[in-house]
Amino acid sequence: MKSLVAEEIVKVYQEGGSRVEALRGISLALAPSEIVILEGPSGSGKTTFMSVAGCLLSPTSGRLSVEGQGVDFSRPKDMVRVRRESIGFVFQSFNLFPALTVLENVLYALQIRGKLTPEYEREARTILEQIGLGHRLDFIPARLSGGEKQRVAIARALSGGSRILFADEPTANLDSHVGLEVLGILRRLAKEEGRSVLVATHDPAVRTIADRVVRMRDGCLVEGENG
Amino acid sequence: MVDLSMKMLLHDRLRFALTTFGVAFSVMLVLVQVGLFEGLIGYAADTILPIRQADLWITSRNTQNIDFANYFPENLVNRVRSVPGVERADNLMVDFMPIHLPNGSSDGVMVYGLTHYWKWGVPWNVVSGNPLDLRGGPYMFLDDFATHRYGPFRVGDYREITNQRFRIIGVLHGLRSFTTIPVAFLDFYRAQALTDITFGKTAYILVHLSPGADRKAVMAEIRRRLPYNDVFTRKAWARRGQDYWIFKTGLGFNMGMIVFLGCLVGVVILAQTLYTTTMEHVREFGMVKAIGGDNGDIYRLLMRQAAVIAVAGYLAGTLLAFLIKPLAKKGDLDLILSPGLLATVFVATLALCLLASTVSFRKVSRIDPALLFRS
Ligand SMILES: Nc1ncnc2c1ncn2[C@@H]1O[C@H](COP(=O)(O)OP(=O)(O)OP(=O)(O)O)[C@@H](O)[C@H]1O
Ligand SMILES: [Mg+2]
Repeated sequence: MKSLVAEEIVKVYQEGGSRVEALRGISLALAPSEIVILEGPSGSGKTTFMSVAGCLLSPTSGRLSVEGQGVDFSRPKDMVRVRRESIGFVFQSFNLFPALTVLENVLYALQIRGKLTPEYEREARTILEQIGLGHRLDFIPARLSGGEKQRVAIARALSGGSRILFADEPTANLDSHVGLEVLGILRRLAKEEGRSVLVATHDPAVRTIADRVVRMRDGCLVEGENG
Repeated sequence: MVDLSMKMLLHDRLRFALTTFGVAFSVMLVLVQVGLFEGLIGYAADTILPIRQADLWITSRNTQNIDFANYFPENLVNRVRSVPGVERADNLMVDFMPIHLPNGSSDGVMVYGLTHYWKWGVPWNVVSGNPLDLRGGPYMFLDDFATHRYGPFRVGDYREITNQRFRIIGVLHGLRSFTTIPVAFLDFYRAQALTDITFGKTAYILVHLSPGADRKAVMAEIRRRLPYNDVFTRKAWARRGQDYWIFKTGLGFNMGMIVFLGCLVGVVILAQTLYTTTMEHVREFGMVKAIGGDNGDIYRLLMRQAAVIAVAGYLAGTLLAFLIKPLAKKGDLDLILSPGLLATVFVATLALCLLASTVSFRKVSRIDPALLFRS
């Protein structure tokens, strides 16, 4: 079973008189353990697609099913449910809670997801240790390097058993070798733990971990490529 | 439990401190204002409530407060004495008189005269002298509060009230009429004789009920026998005088305005700080949504912060008010911080702070998590 299936997603931004067709019928599926790279020039609609597929934004039309369940975009609660249960986001600018320590950032996500149980907490600590932050648990984000911040963001995104990870330009704010480390972590999470990963990027280095590269142009998929 | 609301507050300690201080200042302003007002209003009953033996006060019709006495025939007291259930009734003179001071200036004095001081426990705050001696001649007891207006005086000194010399034979302490006009106690008949207006008259009749007497019945009977007078219980009479100052002088309105402004300033400061804070943390709130939180999670967070600021501000403001109390005392003002006032202000602070937090709700509900994608 696919972990995520998007069909014919159309998104039109309409603001005042201007009308931007950001997505013109995108269909894309993610399988467990699969890493898909979304490439394309600036303004081609990568971020918009992630927002829709990640249930942060309602599409103008199209269907989405996540872990076998259709998403009803007319019900904000349904979108919240999917974000809570299945999806984690990693952003270019980390977006950590500056007042919380590394561990608290992750635990808070569990709390919001209603999953602050001993099992999930243990899992969160394990993830943090596996990605090399075991000695940074009590640091606040201001004292972390960029790579460390992004690793915290990944741990937070996956906390509570989210099976699907969306990463928008995860390496853009990192030095190249630090970026490679982060990519290694993403790859391990997909291959060893069976999570699905979708990465939008301009960074050619990201191709090294891809199972599949998808190119976008002007809101359309232009070519598929199997890696 | 990860308490993001507290961590956020403590992350920016300076702002937390300043916001709390803003609330504390408002709390202090309201407490001090209302406390001083209660103290001030208390003075209006200073010569009524302590006369515990006087269960009832008989006044001339429509007298508004004790300082503005009207006079009626003194022999009406005999009719009162014959009412069943009345154990004792005596005349009390209260009159405003000029007093001449040794330095040639003059001022005012509230003259009190009672026919039988010893039976009523009046005056109740004697520092020196024996009130029984008042009958013996042109003597008076003067409250030491008068020092403020008359300058220093001692037992044995003479002062002139409407050109009659009175010797100070005793000193009282703690009596502060609402008007701040000092109080002097004289023999009833000497007080009565100070002017022609009060000749053969009295200002009030004090009534002490027999044990077990039916107060309502006695009052009704007094009203029947003295149709041109009013009868009040001690508390009602005290209240009447206070209400006069509160409602007929604009004093109550004035205080109400200051309390209102204090609350308003507090709420506006807080609402504006909370709103700016919300704006600054918009990304974090967007992240709460991205993780799977909803608006309710963020509203609760904001309300919790407001509640913490409210409690901290209340405690600090109350502390400040208690620190001001002794200062007020030095200025001869009583700052009364009653449990009722403290409780009311606490509830109001909490409610208003929560109200202020709702100003940010609209903003929160419109946070677009897509902003997280922006670098
Ligand atoms: N909120 C919005 N309102 C109106 N138009 C928008 C909005 N967000 C994006 N767009 C437009 O939609 C199109 C796709 O934008 P999107 O951010 O998805 O592109 P992108 O591929 O992520 O670009 P980049 O590589 O620069 O991040 C662009 O033309 C953009 O101007
Ligand atoms: Mg983008």
